[in-house]
Order: sequence, then C-alpha cells, then structure tokens
Amino acid sequence: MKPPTIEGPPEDGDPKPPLAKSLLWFAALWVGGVAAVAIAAYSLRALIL
Amino acid sequence: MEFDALLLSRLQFAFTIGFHIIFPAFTIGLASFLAVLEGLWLTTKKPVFRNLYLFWVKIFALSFGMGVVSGVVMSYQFGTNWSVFSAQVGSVIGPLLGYEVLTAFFLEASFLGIMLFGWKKVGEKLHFFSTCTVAVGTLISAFWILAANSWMQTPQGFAHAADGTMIATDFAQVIFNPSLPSRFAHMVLAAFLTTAMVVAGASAFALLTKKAIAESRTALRMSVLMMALVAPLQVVVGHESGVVAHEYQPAKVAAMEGWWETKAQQPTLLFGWPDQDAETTHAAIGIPGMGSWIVAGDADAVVKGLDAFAPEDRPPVWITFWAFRVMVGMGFLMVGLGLWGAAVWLLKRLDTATLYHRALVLAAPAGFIAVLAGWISAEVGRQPWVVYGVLRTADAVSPVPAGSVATSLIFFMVVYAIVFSAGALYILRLISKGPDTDEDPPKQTSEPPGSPLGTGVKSAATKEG
Repeated sequence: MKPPTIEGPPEDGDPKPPLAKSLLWFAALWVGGVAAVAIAAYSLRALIL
Repeated sequence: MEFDALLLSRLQFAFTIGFHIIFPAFTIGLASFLAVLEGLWLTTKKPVFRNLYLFWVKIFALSFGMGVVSGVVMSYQFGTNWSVFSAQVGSVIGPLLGYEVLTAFFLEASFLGIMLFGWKKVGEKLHFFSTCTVAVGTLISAFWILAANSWMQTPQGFAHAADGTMIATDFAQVIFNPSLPSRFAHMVLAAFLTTAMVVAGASAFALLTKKAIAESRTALRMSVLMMALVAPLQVVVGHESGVVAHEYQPAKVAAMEGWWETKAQQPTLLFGWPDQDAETTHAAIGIPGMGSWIVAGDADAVVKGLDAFAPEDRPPVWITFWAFRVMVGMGFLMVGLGLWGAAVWLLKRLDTATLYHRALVLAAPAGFIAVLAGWISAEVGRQPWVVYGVLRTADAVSPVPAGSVATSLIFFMVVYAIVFSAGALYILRLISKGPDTDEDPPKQTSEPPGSPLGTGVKSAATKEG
C-alpha cells in the first residue's frame, strides 16, 4: 500500500531514530523548502525580467 | 461611470486582493489551531488530536498554496498598474513588504515541508517546533502587511525628497503608526474567528452526518470556545479600531456611519440608503446620539459629518456604509453563535443540538464575509487617497491604456474562476469527507437499530430460515 503523502507521527512501537539522523532530516527538509521557494521565486522573476 | 485605467486598475486590485485575503484569513488561524492540536497530541497522546491534525493540515497546505499564488499577482500589480505609487512610496513601504518575505514568508514556506513530510523523519519535538514556527510565521506575516497598509491609512515618519518621492525619516514611526496596534489585533482576531467558524461548520456537518464522532465533538468544542471568547473581544477591538479611524480618518468614519452633517447627537444608523448626489441617507433608521457616544464617548459631542470635507475628498459612501454594516452584522452573528454554543454546552446538549449544528453549517462562511466586508469598508473608506491625505489614488496609477488593464482583468477573472473554484471545491470535498478516525464504522443493518420491531423481524427471519 502506498504510504500517505502527508506523514503522520511515529507509531507507538516504532524505534526512535538517532538524534543525528533526525537533525539531518530536519535540515534536509528545511533546505528543500527553501529551495522550492527559491526556484518558484527566481522562475517568476525570470518571467518579468 | 467611465471605465478608464484608474477604475479598471482599482477593480483589478480589488478582485485579486479579494480572492487573496480569503486564504491568509483562514491560514493564520488554522496554523495556530494546528499548533494547539499537535501540542495537545504530544501532551495527552489522544488519537483524536492526531487525526484532527492530519485532517486540517491537508486543508492548510492547499489554502497556503492558493494564498501564495494569489499574493504574487498583487506584487506584480504594484509594478504594472500602480507604478507611480511604487515610485512615490516604494522607499517607505517597500522595506516592510521585503521584511514580510524575509522574516515571515520564508519561515512559513521553508518549515511547511517539515510539517507535511517529516513527522516520522524528524521526530515529535522537532515536528512540533516546525508547526509552531509556521504558526508564528503567519502572525509575523500579518504584522508586516498590516504595518504597510496601516501606514497608508495613517502615514507618519516620512518626508518628501527633492524629486517629490517619499522617503522614510523614522522607520519605527512608519512601522508603529497610530492605526497599526488596533488594526493588527482586529485582523488577527478576525483570522482566528474565520478559522473557528470553518472548523465549527465542518465539525457540525460531520456530526449531522454521523462521521468521525469523537474528532468532530472535540473540534466543535474547541471552535465554540474560540467563538465564545474571541467574538465578544473582537467587538471591543473593532470599536477601538473605529475610535482610531475617527481620530485620523474622520471622513472614512462619517461614510461608514452615513453622517452627512457635522452635529452633536450623531446617530448610529441600523439601516439607510446613502445617496451621494443628494448628500443624504434615505430611509434612515437609527439610534440618536449613539454614534457620538461610540466614537467620542459622549452622546452630545459634536462629530464631523461629510459636509466637513470637500466633495472631491469624500469616499464613496454607499459601499463604505453597507460593507461596514455587513461586517458588523457578521460579527454579531458570531457573538450570538458563540454564546448559543456556550449555553448548549453548559446544558450538556452540545453534541445533540441539531438546530445549532445546522446553524453552524450555514454560518461557516461568516468569517470570510466579515473579513471581505471589513477590508472593503477600510479600503473604499480611505478613498480618494491611496496614502491618506498625502497621495491621491488617481495620481498613483500607471500611465497605461485602459485596454491593457481590461485585458489583464478579464484574464485574471477567467484564470481565478478556474483555479480557485477547483481548489475551493477540493477543500469542500475534503471537509465533507471528514477526518480519518480510529472509531469502528457504523454497522449496516436493514432493521431500525435497537427497536423491538427490528429484533422481532430478525428473529422471525432466523426461525423461518
């Protein structure tokens, strides 16, 4: 079954990931968010310049 | 009425901002609601809070996306339709809009990814931090936008440069202009109420259709609590905003109230039909003295009417007057629904009050209507000025042909009708489906549940079989 796009919280029995891994994911997703904003912003800017 | 570039540009901005404001008005409140839900999930571990979070976060993401798309269009219009305005005041309010992007939008947009895709990956605490960051980001965003708009209503802290453009002499004064505190509070509370009305309507609909009972009951309680506490507070804050407007923009308040004559004992008109040409309000029904008492604290105070201003300095009265009444009407409707909800809750009938649930479903758009009407009364009431008392709207428009503005307006109307109708319908579909739940689905039986007749029919059928 395909996992849901919007992720839910860890289940009760799930092992807790190491802190370093959680922080890496946190940084990666944040950078991904910034990149998405930057791509959209520069694409829109390219349209008008 | 001539459809020149000025009127068409105003219509275009009104159309696009009218669509845009619907989304932030909803997402500001929804982001805080999500932070509260996640906080409650973390502390209690009750599945209803997790289910509600996962349900409303989808709607938040869609609304946020549509808010961004509709907001970008307005930024373009500052250049295309309002280039003189941009050239004149860009040095003053440009930085405020820049701060909004840097300190608020980037915060919301970059942490949204963690909120949507990272709960398992980053763990509970970092995810909660991200949700709170997005919620704070929406509030910071509202602060900067309200700072820029409030400066246009009550400008200060600027001077004219040699070339006639405006430059900021004191950014603290520009940002913390006189109308910012009351207008910012009024807008944030309006956003919370808008969200509360939608959540209440959706929860009531789910209860009426017997879906996700536990989640819907919880969400209904949270939204009724918000309505009962915040709607009366909003009346007080709205009053304060009106008092500030009366002090700095008396023509706007005179138009909102339909006061043509400067006099003591100004009435509060409950109904009327303002006639700008005849300079009177036909069929006026009002309470004498109440208007003076509301804005000046004394029923006998002499309060300015529109006759104190030259006809070319008066705003369009009919729209301002009626938009204000619609906003106030919706506000009191929300106060009434909040108190009604609190009463049935105290009587322990909140889950079964079908009539109340139906009223909530019907009133779900009340917050949106109030926000739109409030902004119409604030912005039309500021006319004929784009920066009150400093720069006229007619002097701020771009030197572009009316045909160009008409073409882009038609384009926007067609695209918005398609994109936002599809988005709104999808959100309504999600809402009608209701949250996922851990409850067992209701059993499908052909007999009336629990009735002796049903039991009897079933036993007879078993015996015959």
